[in-house]
Amino acid sequence: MLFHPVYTPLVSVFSQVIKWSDEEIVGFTNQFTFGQFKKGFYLLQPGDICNQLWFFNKGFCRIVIKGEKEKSLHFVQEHNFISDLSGLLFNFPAKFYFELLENSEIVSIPKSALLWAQENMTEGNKLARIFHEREAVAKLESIYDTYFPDIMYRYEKMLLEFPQIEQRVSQRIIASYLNISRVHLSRLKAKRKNLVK
Amino acid sequence: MENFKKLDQFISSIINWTKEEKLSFFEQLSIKKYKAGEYLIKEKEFCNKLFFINKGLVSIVLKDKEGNSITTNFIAENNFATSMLAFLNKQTSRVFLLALEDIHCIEISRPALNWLYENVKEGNKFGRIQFELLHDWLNKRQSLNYITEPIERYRLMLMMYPGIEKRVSQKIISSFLRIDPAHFSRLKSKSDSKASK
Repeated sequence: MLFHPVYTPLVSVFSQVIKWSDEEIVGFTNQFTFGQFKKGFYLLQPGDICNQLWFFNKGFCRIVIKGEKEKSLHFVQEHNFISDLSGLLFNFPAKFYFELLENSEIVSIPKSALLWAQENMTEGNKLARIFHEREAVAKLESIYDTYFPDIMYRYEKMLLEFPQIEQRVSQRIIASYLNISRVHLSRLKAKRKNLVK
Repeated sequence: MENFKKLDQFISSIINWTKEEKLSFFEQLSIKKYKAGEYLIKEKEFCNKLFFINKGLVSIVLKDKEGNSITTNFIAENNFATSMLAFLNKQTSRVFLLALEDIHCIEISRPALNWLYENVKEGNKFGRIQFELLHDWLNKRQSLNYITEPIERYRLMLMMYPGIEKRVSQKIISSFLRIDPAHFSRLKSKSDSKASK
């Protein structure tokens, strides 16, 4: 085995994007770390400078603004990445919390390993480019969606992207993601139930 | 070759590439001109190209549910313009690319861009760096949606697009800031009088 089995899902994701040699796989994965974290743990807090890319083997996480009114901005589930790119790329301090909503198993790729990959792997820059393209798609979609403040549309889109979300997080968190009250969310769900019938 | 001078300078400021690589790439590109008011890309059109703007100003326009045009971005000289989401997802465009001034640009087709990634030694490095810069811009653009104070949005806009207020009408700027044109006019006078004091 070239690498620890905990890295199998991540290596498989990368192998769909690039061709890489056994030496490159070993060299890159040797720089990863694996950790198990409890629900409620913050991977990142406002003011921190993010210097890692995280990949979820298992678990669920949200990006959230905390304060008088809590606002959930985005969720991340299994086999997906999360990072604060403004910190990772430009050393800007984080503005949001990355909060674990379940006990999670996470692979951390330090910034130094990402730079190593760009410099030492034949297709390291290609890997980074494709990763950034996918992140840009997610961000652009979220920007455009703000021009369509149709809550039902946002709710359906959320269910499509995170099919198990209703079972995994509280109604309070879903309401804060949709930027509506819990009462409004209940009405929305009832309306949807009637539409689906 | 004169037509490609700016693009050559732009790419050469980011990567090292040979004369042969440049010539082979430029051979695949075409020069395009658009009059102010014309569309470079229309909504619902498949988007398989991007433009490098030699001269002129382009806006990205989205139509909301009521059919109102909303300006979501401006792209000026020495930048790439496309319907990014449609280009990356290989889908139809949700937006229009509108020439706000007469445009002189270079059209880069998807095959030509892929050729650059695959055949220019540092092609993927160029792509990776472009997307890193795009993230910085997207973060700022996303911040605009979270800023509630119109005056703060106006200041961030001026920082993101230096000189834009001299090139486009107040109506377009108010559409970008998502505020009523009359309100924007009052806001601008307030901001201008503060700046002159």
